[in-house]
Amino acid sequence: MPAESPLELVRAQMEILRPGQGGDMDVSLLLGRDLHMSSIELARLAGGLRRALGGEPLPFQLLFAPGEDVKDLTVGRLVAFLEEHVPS
Amino acid sequence: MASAWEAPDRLERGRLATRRAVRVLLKHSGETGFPGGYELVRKRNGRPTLAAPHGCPSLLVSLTHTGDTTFAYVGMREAGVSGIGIDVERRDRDHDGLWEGGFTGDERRVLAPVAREAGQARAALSAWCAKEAVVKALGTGFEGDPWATACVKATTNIFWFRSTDGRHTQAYTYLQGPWVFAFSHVSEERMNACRIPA
Repeated sequence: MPAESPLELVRAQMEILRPGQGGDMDVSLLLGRDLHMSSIELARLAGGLRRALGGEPLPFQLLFAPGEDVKDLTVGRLVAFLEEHVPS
Repeated sequence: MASAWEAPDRLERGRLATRRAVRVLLKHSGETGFPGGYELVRKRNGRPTLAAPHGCPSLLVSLTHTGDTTFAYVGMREAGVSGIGIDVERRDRDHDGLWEGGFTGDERRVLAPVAREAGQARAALSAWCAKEAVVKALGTGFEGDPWATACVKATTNIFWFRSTDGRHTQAYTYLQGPWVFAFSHVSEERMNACRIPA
């Protein structure tokens, strides 16, 4: 895991995508409903996180595991995903 | 027939762009009908549909919003055609991260020849728009997961995708001014025609 915490990483990438919005982003916010992120922004966020973590592939598709009716993601779920899948 | 409209409100922009596209489509196809009589409504899954006035031809619609611009794509509901999809993005905007984040490793391998020929940024943006157009035409949307619909074959302007139910659907892209346009039509006939062997 890099020096930044997963939450700091997500906030930093959001700040790149949307300057001024990443800094105080709360973990309970939904990326779609609350932050109005489009699918292309979600893809770019995933790409930015991957790049910031050294370019190793991350199984982002597991965020939408089959059988789970997930149509939106909280910032907290994304942070938990990084905690689980990025080696320390 | 595609039409663009800029206005402050997304829903109103959608209505205006749709009305304009309907007017042009009816004129070009020689059909009679009152464009203002078509009502843009959204199904429960968010998919837009057009309610046709009595006696007017049944039409299909797909909408896309990018920045302050809305594009409407309208087509005749022909036998066997179940959906149409459009996506448009600006080429002159920053799409950094899309190549790495929008596609799986398998998809990037499929897209690599296109990236070599047209450049990675264009390949990523065209393929992404095509993917969006396909999930709209299928009527599924991404349902949150942009990685579930996989690009399995690609040329510079035509992209083929496999969705989670195994269906294969293609989309066409082209560049116009600052925009990348992608269009997709879904019909049983077309799906059979573009089915790709495993």
